[in-house]
Amino acid sequence: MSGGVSPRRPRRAIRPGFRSRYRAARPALAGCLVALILLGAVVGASAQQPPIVSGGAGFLAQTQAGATYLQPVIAPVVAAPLGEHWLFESRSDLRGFISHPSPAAGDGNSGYDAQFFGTLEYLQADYLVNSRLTLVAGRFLSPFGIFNERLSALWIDKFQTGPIISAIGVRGGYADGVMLRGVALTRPKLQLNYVLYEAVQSAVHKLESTRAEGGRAGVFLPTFGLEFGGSFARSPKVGGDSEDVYGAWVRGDWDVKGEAARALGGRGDWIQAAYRLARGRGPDSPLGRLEPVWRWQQFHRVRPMAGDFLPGANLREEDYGVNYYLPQNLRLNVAYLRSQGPGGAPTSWQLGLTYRFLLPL
Amino acid sequence: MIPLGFTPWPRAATNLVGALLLSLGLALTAGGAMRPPLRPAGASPPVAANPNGGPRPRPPRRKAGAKPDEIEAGERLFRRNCGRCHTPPEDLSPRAAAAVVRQMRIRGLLPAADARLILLYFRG
Repeated sequence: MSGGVSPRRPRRAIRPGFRSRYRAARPALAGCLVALILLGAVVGASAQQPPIVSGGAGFLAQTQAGATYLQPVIAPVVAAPLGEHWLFESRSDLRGFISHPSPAAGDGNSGYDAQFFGTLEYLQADYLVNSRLTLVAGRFLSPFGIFNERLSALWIDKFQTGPIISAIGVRGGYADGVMLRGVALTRPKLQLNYVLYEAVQSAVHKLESTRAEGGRAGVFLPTFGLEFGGSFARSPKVGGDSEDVYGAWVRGDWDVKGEAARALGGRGDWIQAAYRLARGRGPDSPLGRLEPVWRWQQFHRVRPMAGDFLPGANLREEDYGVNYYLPQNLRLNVAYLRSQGPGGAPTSWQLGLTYRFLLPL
Repeated sequence: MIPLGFTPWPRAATNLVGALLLSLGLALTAGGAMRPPLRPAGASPPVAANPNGGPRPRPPRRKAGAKPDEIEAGERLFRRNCGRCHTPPEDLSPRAAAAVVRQMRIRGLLPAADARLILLYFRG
């Protein structure tokens, strides 16, 4: 044996392409690890706080200029709490739009045309940081004004169609991004709440979003049932800036809400009043289930802007409706809508039946 | 030798599927491990002695923290806060209350203290 250093044993050859395949799989493995942790935690914690499936379902009918439109719709909501701080929630809107042309059209078509739409309205993760702050990430309802976030649900809205200015500040109604929200100040007679959000631009199918930022601040006086506030939204690429003020008074059987908003394309306002005939009879009596509703609204077009989801011309509308709250979370709605201006049909009738469901899993 | 007509998956997709299956299996195992331990088989809850000889029926246990004035305050806060937007549900299962109240706390901007009392009202 010689006195020199023995030759180094050659390293075992690594199969060609292994390193590149591992690098390609790392993001998937990381995502699966996160999903593993979350899934295990949800399963373990769900015994005390089970997820729920809730939402609204309904069948809506509208007659306008002799043509009839039918809309079967279901808007399920899934909410899954996790631990003491997390909530994962989502809402979708699945609806059909079935139209029957007016006999006056004269084209001989006596059948129905049908289209079906599915929309992911929100898919968000909420984290309760403390009593004053909640962090939200994902796809959420644009928190502008009073209608989009709080009143747009199928089983909440007093009419089948929202206010004509409801697109101001929210465009399609949804945003992808992050949000801070909470109650900044709580006193027995005063609450101050706030929302701040940042939305990103997205062209992903079903997750479309416009670059925007905005916020809302509100004051609630519980003793008087009165609240008011304002919103702002900045969308550099589309529509420019939007501002909004809103107010609401809910006391006893009265429910009055209103809003005024403006955007680059126009401005408008609405006021809505509802009165539940429950005084002296109780909400479960035959008459106590009845709720007349009235709404007046207008929009003034300032400059033409394509794709802002607002009427193309000035429009004024007065709506009369009656809601009847049947047992088992059912609601019957009849409404008469009268429009003035080139932006809408002169009159239309609405008839709808909605159902609110809530099921723990 | 690859059978005729078989197209192998891309390697990244194979890795992803394998990782998902592994994660699912581990998650089910981990979720089971996080549940509170079951009572040993055959064990029965302790029974208070009855001076008359037989077992004394156990009185119904009142939920911790659910004082009558808190439940009353919770009902008042529920009608005041939730009534701003919608009519109250006709029935709400206590099992669903936690998720509902948390969702409404975030979506309806409820103060934390109000949310706690409303939850006690639903579960009381």
